[in-house]
Amino acid sequence: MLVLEGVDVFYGRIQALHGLNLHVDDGEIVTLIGCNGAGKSTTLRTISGLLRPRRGGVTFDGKDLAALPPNRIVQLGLSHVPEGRRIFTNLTVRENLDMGAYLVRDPKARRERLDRVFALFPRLEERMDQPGGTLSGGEQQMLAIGRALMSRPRMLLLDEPSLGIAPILVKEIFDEIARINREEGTTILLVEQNANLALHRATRGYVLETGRIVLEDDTKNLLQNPQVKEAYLG
Amino acid sequence: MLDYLLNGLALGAIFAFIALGYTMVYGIIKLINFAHGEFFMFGAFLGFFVLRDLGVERLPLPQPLPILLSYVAALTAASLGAGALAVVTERIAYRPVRRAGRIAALITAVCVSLILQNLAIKAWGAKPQAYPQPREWIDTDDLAGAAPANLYAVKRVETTGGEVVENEVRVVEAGAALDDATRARLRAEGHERVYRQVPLDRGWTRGFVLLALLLWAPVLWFLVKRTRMGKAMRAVSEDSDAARLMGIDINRVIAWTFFLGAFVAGVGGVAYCVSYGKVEPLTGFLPGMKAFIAAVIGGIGSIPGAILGGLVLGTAESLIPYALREGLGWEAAFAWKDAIAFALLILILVFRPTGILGRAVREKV
Repeated sequence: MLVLEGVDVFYGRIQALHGLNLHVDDGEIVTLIGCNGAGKSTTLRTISGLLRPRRGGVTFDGKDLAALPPNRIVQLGLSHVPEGRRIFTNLTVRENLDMGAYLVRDPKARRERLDRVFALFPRLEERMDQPGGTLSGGEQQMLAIGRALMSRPRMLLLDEPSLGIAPILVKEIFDEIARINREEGTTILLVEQNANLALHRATRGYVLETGRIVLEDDTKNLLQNPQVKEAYLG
Repeated sequence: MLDYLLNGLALGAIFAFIALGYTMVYGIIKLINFAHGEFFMFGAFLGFFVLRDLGVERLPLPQPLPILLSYVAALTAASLGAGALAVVTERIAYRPVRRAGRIAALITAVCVSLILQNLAIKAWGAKPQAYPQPREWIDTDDLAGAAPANLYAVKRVETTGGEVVENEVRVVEAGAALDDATRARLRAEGHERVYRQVPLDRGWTRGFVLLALLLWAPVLWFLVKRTRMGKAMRAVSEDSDAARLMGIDINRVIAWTFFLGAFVAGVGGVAYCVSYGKVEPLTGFLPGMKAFIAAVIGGIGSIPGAILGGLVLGTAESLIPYALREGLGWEAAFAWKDAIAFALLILILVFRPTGILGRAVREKV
């Protein structure tokens, strides 16, 4: 479904990704783990079009993404929940969700998406008219995911959904992520620093170190891998 | 006193119209668009051409309908034209430097302002021109009694180059008798109709700008709060990368913001020049500066702030010199009104740098 081949990405003169190869198949939950600064967020930002690869190809269902602006990539069914949630704090919860459905013109379809998101995250419905900035960290993460789901994506890119969130809410959020994958067939690429959590939820995983993929395997093997255990599972 | 207050509010409303554009553009791309005053000037010139070449001066219809129609036409042309100029300017001058940093964009804005001023000088000449006033046309046959004011007629003259130009000539002085002899003379000179200038009542122009602001404010509120484009504007203003991830085409949103800001500046341009009776390529400079001050006073980035800041500045510019003159007997106070406006800016920057309605925003790194 999603294929990255030999992707090089630069920030000015500093190379952030070195010949990255990665693929995610239809219906999978794939995780990308690694330390701070390994290039995980860069990878997602490149897929969603916020960054452009200098070399290499990014394709989604065979369509080349490397030349498309982010708004066209969303249209193809790929939705990115950025690191740090990046919700619109001055817009209400409802308006944030409306923005997620910016490209959905049909009011009936928007209503259906909204009901679906409220079913997944009932707290959002309770807080519908509140400015996004007044939500707790966990609620903001739910809003960020809900917002991304409003465009009915076929694939979701999640960047550190557990960051800065109370442990009890982390479990709830990950349960909902699994449910989105199971019930809607949404393919998921999950970036996490919390490797333990990510490897238990995903089917396959990649380990990223200083811009290079160093390991790729089914998560049950990665969980047993001594290198991974040493470096990421502590 | 009341008269000065109303004058101040009307001037303030014009400042508010221009300040809205500054604040909206700043809100969305953090650029102080110094060329905004030139959009205002461009609108004023477009209104000028509509009024002079199509409107009030030519239509031999009973008043006041043609006056009203021609002002509507002038305002429409001015607002749409200024909006279009803003969109084009954004596309060719600002978009290429959008990611180059704020100083680069600011310098670009100053340059664009100078370029537009000079293009206007090239196109329309540097001299101030009288802004068209409405005219009342009278059939020569209907003239009777004594002339209430100077009467004019349009005379076609062939120049030495063979070009036919129309000159406006005074044919009857105010107070002269309009008898058979006068009518015969006018007909002999080929004037089927003559006209007199109808000075616009200041009450009307003041009323118009205040009413226009009163009507526009809720429309703008609705556009920004309720429409899809308005919500997208607020989203882009807060976090443009996140907005792009929603599928928002930020180039379109930014173009719309420029259009909306210049659209109202065009209305302000016509209103300003009608009130002050002239237009020139530098017309946009001082009101543009003042409106920028108004936007800062109100809190740049805040739409209600721009309106409030405009009204506060306009009123201050009128009432403070009035108080100084009446209270302290300082006759020259009104000559210092611009200095008073800039002093107000400095005071605001010292004591409340975020403006009346502005909020402190931490810079994103």
